[in-house]
Amino acid sequence: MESLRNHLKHIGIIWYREVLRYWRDKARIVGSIAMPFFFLVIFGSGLSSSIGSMAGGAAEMGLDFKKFMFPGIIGMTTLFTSMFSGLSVVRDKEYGFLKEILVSPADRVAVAAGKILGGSTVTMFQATLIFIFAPFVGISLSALMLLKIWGIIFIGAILFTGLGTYVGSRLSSTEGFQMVMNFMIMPMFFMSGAFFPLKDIPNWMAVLVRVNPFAYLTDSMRKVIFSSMGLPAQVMNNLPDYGLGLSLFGNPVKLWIDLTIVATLALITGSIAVYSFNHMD
Amino acid sequence: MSKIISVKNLVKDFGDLRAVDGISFEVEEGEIFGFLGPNGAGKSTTIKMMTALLRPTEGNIWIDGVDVCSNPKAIRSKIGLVFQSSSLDDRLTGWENLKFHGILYNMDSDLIERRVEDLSTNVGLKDRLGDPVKNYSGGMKRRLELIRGLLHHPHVLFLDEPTIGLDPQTRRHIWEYIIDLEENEDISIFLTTHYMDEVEIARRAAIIDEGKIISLDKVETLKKNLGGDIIVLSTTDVEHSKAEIKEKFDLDVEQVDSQLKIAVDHGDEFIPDLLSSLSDKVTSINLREPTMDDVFLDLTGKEIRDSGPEKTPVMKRGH
Ligand SMILES: Nc1ncnc2c1ncn2[C@@H]1O[C@H](COP(=O)(O)OP(=O)(O)O)[C@@H](O)[C@H]1O
Ligand SMILES: [Mg+2]
Repeated sequence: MESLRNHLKHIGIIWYREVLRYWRDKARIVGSIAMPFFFLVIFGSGLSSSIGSMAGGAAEMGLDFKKFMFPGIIGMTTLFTSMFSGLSVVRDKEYGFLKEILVSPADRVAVAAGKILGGSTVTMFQATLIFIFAPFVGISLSALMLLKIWGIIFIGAILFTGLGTYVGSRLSSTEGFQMVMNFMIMPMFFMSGAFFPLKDIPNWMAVLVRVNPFAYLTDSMRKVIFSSMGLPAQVMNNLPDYGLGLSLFGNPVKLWIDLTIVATLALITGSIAVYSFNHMD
Repeated sequence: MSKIISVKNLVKDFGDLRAVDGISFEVEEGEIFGFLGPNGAGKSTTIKMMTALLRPTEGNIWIDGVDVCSNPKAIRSKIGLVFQSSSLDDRLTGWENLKFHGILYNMDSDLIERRVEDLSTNVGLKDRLGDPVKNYSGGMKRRLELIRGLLHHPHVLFLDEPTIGLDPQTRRHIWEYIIDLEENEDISIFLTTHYMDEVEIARRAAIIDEGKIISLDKVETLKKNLGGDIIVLSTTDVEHSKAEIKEKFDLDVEQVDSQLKIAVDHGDEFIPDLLSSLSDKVTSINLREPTMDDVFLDLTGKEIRDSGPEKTPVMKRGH
């Protein structure tokens, strides 16, 4: 159908512009691996020995803090990059380019989809870059693991790019956007188990963790990466007991449940972003 | 001539502020239509409503037979737009900006390339299309926006203050190009400006102030209504001369600062009479055709402030 072809072309060109702008910004690419690097070096090396007491008995099984943190850092990169990709909408407003897009025949749905896919592509690229630290952490990569992780990053990226794009479509200043983002990202980040094992945490925090979308994303990444590390089945099947995984109603959360939750939320935030674009002046 | 744009009783409220207050006008196919008014008069708001970027509070707009308010999608590809403030992506090259536009407007690659080649040659940007827009001068950015607005062969081109902030030479180039378009392309142009000299490239113009059209006519007629020529003079005793001219010639004399302004037919023949009948010494005298400044002053009793580069020579239309 002619019009479907046009919609796809519109999505494609908007996606391409996002990716091109990212690619031309070499400082941003380099800067994006600096923070995970420092996190791994400082926290990973400094706190390596404390993982033993934090995640009772896990240390003897070959798990140190760097390995524990690695999936969390991939998750962190996914969260930050995709949420902040909503900034491109605000920037387009500030620089006037959004007007050029909005007066064009392109459907708003295609515009929002192109933006979300563009932000997600950039997120996948940035998150993949983190794998250059894998040897340093002592994690061996396999094609299968990478494929699974990419799938997870993609779904997570849609979720948080959708959210970021929605916020971006509602705000008109870069400063305002950054404020709101920090306000949204920080609680999600700290209440997720990405940075410390979820063992012996207060009840209120346990509740917050379970309503935090990012916790499920981190959980799914940890499951995939840990399972490729050859941890004993006894640990893998009881991750919550070691503070290394989520449980719901007393049962360990299965990978497919994590992914169903993340994918459902991705569908919701993506739709909200599209709706908001459709109703933007 | 048929009407390409027809606007009826258009109103736009922003809260308590009525930015556009019941305006109606028509633009004929193939003409340049000007919208002249000071800052805040409601020009950009009118353009935004005509291009379906803003919903009118009241009123109707038809462009090329399409009701813009009920069918905004149908006019998107029929119109081209150059905004008052830049709307380029300055991290991309000129060519990338144009290509992006062409694809959004459903043009195929061959057509985009041919059209870009033609248009960029005409405005002298061809050799610079590969440079990032952030390295462009203000004039180059404007030219790029202008050809981008034309890329998809729109029936109507909207230009919101097309030469704002540009140097006189660049302004003249852009005017020449716009006049060329009217002559050589199958296009109608709606142009807003707060520069008096700029509206003279239009065939007809509406003068807008505080959201209302206070006059609409051919630019020539608007000027002619003032009475042919304008004579501006200063004398050693301005007050006395003013009274003297009123008494002897029965003419309206306006005093602007320390100068007197008279509108007369055949000013060249009138000057000798005037000089020989004034008892005060004339220290300077100047004869010129009326400008839109005079029109505006005449209609509203106030001058347009900030009318830009003062000494830009007025362009004359060829007809
Ligand atoms: N989005 C808006 N919200 C509130 N007021 C606005 C908005 N846009 C324009 N205005 C006001 O409407 C009036 C007309 O503005 P505008 O159409 O931009 O004038 P012009 O283009 O003739 O300079 C001004 O008083 C301006 O402050
Ligand atoms: Mg304006």
